[in-house]
Amino acid sequence: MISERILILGNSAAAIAAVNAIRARGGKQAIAMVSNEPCTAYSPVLTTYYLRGEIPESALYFCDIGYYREHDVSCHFGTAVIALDAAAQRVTLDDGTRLDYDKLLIATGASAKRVTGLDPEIAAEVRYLRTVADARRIREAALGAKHIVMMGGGLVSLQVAGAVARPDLKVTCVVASRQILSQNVDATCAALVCGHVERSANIEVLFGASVAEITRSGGGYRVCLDSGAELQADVLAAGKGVSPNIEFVDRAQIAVDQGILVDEHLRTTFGNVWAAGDVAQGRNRVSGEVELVANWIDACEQGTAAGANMAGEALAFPGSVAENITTLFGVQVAALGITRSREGDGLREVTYLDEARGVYRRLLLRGEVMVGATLLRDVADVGVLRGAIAAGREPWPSAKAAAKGHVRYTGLFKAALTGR
Amino acid sequence: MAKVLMIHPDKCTGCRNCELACSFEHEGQFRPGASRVQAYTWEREGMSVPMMCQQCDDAACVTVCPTGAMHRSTTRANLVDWDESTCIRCKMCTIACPFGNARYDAASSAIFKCDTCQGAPECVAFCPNGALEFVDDEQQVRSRKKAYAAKFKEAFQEVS
Repeated sequence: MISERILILGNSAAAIAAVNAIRARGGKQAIAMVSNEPCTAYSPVLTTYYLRGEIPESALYFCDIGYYREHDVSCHFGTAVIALDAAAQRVTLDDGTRLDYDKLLIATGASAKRVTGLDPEIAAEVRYLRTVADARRIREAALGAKHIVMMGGGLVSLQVAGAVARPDLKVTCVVASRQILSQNVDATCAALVCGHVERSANIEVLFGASVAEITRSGGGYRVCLDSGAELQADVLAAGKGVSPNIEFVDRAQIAVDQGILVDEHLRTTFGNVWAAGDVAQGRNRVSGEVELVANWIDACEQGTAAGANMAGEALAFPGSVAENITTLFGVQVAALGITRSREGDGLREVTYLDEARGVYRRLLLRGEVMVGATLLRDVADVGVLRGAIAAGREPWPSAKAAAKGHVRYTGLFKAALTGR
Repeated sequence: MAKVLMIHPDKCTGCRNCELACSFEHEGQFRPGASRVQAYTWEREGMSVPMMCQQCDDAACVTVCPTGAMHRSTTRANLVDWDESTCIRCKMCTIACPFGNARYDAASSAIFKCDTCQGAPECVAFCPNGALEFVDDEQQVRSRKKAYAAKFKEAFQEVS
């Protein structure tokens, strides 16, 4: 009997979790994997740690070549997918290889969004951080640099700025909005973090600023801002978020919105094709919307569910939760669920600020139910808050106590123990 | 035989001796914040319960760890072990554990989770009421733990 052929496009969190899920169920399917990167699986989560010099490059890789052998996966690494014909159940790679499959998982992840509106030649020289290769390029570029202009003020932009800034290397972040981390945290939290940024490193943040034009100047660049101000830079960098790697998906075959639309079993609109990780657009458990949520934990959970479903078990994925935790300039920052409130969204906020300890915590509630949390410095109960937000629970005994972090998640345990 | 930590909420008085014993064993300090076990008390209900890592078979912290630092021990049964040297403190495990049993401690830059004191848990030794027990991993114990875990799971999922 010819065994079923499973093809997995991608080689990171979701893809590896899927392989693990399939093999954990004793599946004997023939698994092939395709990745456009010429290396074993590594975590993009860790590239900022590598950039800061905290870990060697070797520590980025969470699978060695032995993993693929042990899990009986045939690898096509360093080759990109150029075409997917779902009707013919065939994928074509850029080296001419054609792979036929019975079941397909698309888990190709996301890439850094490119800046637009620049001269194409100069745009090609802008550095981003997503892949190992990106991290290497930024490291090299920073070596002899004196001034880097960073377009963006999000988590990745700040991580990169913090990693490369030195007394003799200034980083100027050009931020369009009135605060840093505008996609992650509220203005109060952002202002507290920004204070740390500017105190602890040779970094300047320009708010409400955007780049009008960049031209060459000497060996570097002249960056003209909307305000008319000009900056000199010898390296350009940008962090504008990520977009899913789905260029090869034929939208006439597989429904795509911002990402590939998936149901609760991670199945796409084409029966034998699944999608997981940063490419998959499914239900957000907290907002209820069908939207793209790109993060490591969701990718792991989605990959596990997709793998189980492809192996024939019906395992529902309960929905995504936006979440992030990181250390920025020595301070822990966590953002869970909905963290940005908008006019008229009916959300209530409960905040707690302890300036002496530098602790700020903010819970967002819809009615009595917790839908989001922003935590600065005191992040000890992040897992419980995430669980409570994901399950739509009420903080106990009160939102105020939960915001303070003094009464940790006891309500959840009480419910578990007493059924009340 | 492999052993597991067993909780008896009905015997816990909320004295928090376990927290002191744990933090002293691991950090050399009497600092409940550094304890891997936390005793929770509901005053109105007159109920207390000690909580620590359940060493889950299918542990969320292990699944999400990008470096493999959080791993199922190969040398000891029933232990989810944390390897300090390969951990890069990304704190994914702390988000993933819905019980808050893997926590990041900024003061020592470490992930705190119960390691059963390498097979001789101090919390058990110092619990004056027998609310914590380190017992053989028998079928009976397993099913009790399972029932307990199911209750938690239910509590988390009932509204989702």
